[in-house]
Amino acid sequence: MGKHCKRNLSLSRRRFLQAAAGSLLIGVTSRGLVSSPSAQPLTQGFGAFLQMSSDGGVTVHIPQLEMGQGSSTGLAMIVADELGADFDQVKIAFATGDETHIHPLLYPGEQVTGGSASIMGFGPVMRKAAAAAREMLTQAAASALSEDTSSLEVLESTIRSKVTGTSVAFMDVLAEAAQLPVPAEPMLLPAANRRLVGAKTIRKDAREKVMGTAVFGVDVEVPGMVYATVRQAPDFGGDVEQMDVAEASSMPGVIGVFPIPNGYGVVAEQFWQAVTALDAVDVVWQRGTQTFNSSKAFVKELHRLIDEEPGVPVGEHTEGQGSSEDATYPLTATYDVPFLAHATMEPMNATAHVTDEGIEVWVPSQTPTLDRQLVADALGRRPEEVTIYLTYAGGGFGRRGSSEYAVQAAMLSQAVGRPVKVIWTREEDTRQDFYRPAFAARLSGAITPKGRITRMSTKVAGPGVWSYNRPMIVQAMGGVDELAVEGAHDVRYAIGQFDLTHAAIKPMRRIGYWRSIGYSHNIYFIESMVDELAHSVGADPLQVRLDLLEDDPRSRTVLEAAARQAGWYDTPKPGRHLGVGFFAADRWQTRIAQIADVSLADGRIKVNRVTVAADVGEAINPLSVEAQIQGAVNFALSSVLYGQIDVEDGQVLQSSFPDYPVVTLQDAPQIDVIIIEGGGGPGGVGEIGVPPLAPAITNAVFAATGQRIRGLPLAKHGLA
Amino acid sequence: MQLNVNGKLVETDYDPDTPLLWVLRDDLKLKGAKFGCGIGACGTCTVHIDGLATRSCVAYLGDVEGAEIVTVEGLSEDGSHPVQQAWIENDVPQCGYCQTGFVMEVAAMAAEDPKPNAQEIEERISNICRCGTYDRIRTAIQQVAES
Repeated sequence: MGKHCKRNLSLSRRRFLQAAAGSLLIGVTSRGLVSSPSAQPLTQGFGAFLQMSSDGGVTVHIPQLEMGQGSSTGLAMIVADELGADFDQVKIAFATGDETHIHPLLYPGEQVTGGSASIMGFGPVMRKAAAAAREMLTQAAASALSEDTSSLEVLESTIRSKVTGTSVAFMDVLAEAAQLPVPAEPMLLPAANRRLVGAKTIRKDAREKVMGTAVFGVDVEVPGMVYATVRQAPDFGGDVEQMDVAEASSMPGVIGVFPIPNGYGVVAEQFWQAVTALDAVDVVWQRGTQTFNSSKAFVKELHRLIDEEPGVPVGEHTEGQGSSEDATYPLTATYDVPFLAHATMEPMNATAHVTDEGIEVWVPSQTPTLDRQLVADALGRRPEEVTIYLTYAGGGFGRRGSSEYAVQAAMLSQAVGRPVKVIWTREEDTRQDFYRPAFAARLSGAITPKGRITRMSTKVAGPGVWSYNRPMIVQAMGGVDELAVEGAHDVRYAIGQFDLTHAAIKPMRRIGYWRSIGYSHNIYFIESMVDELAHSVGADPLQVRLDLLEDDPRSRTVLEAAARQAGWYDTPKPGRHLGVGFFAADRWQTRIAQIADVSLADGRIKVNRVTVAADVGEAINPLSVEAQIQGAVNFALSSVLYGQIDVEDGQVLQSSFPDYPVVTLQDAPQIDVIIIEGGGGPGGVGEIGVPPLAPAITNAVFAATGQRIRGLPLAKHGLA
Repeated sequence: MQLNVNGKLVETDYDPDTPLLWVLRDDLKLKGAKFGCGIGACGTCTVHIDGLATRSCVAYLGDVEGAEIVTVEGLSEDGSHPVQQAWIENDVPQCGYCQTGFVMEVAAMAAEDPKPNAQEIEERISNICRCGTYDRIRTAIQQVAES
């Protein structure tokens, strides 16, 4: 190290200390924060995503909720690669929910985690931010080394002269670099120079998650904090009609019982005291505003809509382009799927501290900027007064895209004048979810004797998730709710004649985003019909699909890869039966095929193995891609085997894992994942594993039993 | 009341009817055991009581006085327990919420039965992982058994 470096080292250290003296660094602070407010003087030059410190540490501010999908590690890999940082020195922290962290692709002006779009959305933005920081550091190093930037190279947090071999560490030139103007269009490293992206990388958060030190929403500690739990009306839109809180209020530790929207909250010194007092409130519930009191009646209505209502045509219909005279085997079938809960492991929760100075909310949320607005609205404050801190989330799957628990925490904190942590019981979490809506569909199709599908007509009936949660989007799209028809309006197969209609209905409960949303039912409908058509002429269901994908070699590749690995073309093993499911989604730039291998034991279906091949464009972290797909398969499997939320007399019947079972180790199949990188950049991988699983299994059940499963879950047919 | 937690005697004034989970989490600030269901169904709150894997949401404070309680914080100080190591090396956690419960369950099994077969593992490990990390959990358990 030359003289210049030493001088700069001492200078930068001193400057850092000066800068740090009054600053709040990332980590656990006196207030128990899990991330700090915006960057401090030393780091302002590195923008909203990056903080570097004099000990060599690089902190990447993740603007997305880390709920298991691993995008925090993926984004950190992208940043470290572009920055030239030593990955071991890179830490992740969560950004606050505000306008500096809005998602580039999703809901304009909002910070949203969803749509499998963390890497697709923030990858390019954060790569550019890292490239800008690298240029600033390089320029500072150039002046420290009295060399031209072109003679410098960056590797492992060190900038080295290719001429003299002398080098400076990032930390040595940090202070100088931070003062430089941020380049507007920094040069990105050539893809060939990337060392981390594409390499199998252990998650940054693996260690803290097996040590129990990762801070989830339920783990937030704020000095002086008390605890709360809530109960909301059993009916959709119901509320407290009257309540007697005398007994509950006199119970040990209880601070008070307070109204919240559609219910009440109990605040106590200890969480268990709040839970115990919850039942002691004598409440009379006002009935709700639901149009149906029973889910059975609702599903029956969906079928009536299909039979009797015309519905709204969706997309460009291609009538008359096929050779309908070939269609000698017309076939019609009707399917339905139930309401589903998310059942995240970590129940809904939030912690809030409301004071005259401002409102702080700690919440595992997929929609922090929306939370900020709704908390402000509920308390009659301005959004600028509300600071939202993200924590780790114990699963999300779309559930953490509603904000009521953040609002509840803020209202209860205001009521008692102390910080309040609200945690829902599992029973509340199950009964007050915003559910994947029930849907029904009728499909008609025709296939030639040689196995070419020439015609398909699809009618889906059900409540659209955007129609309920974001009606403006549906209006802007001319009345079509894409979330109701996705998977059915973008079928990749080259079917000559294709038409689709949607019969909409108001939901009978709150409905919401559930991992893969509309695809979760529509791919089941479409892929079941394709299978039914294939079997109706004795054609190989896999070959029927391949024939419809002549124009899309990447789709053929995933089907063929999965088929080979699963033994589709081999002599069947005794007692084992295979079924296939496939879809391609432009939105996620992916194609995915799954083959389920099932057997029948004591009249029940056992899923032995699921073979997946997915073309994901580019895999930033192949370990994460594999994990997301395996996880999605098991998530979907729970719904295929058991998942069903029933409503009777306005009340949700299920309440916890015994009556809303999910897959355990015993049920979980071996899941083999073949990752194909067909190019075009990274696609979205968080949801793609869900949709093909249901048809892969029910198609395998048909192969095993001759029974066509036209309604989920298998449990309702006595098969699970 | 005095409790023996992670080899230390600690005081708590919580009511004896309180589930141990909430004493650990809110009074003793040991947050590794998580709340999942409150009825002993999911296993995310698993700790060791006298060496046995126990769901602390249905173990009541009054019943564990004098028992040796070990939480994930007491399993190792740095994540170096062989089960934790296997979990990290196999990149098991996704959301991670349930994983401390799995780690405690598997650590108890490993101490009792170092070479479980596949059937024993499936019968014994009934914890729920909603992220569906079961493939890697199997691999990690296998690695622990082979080490």
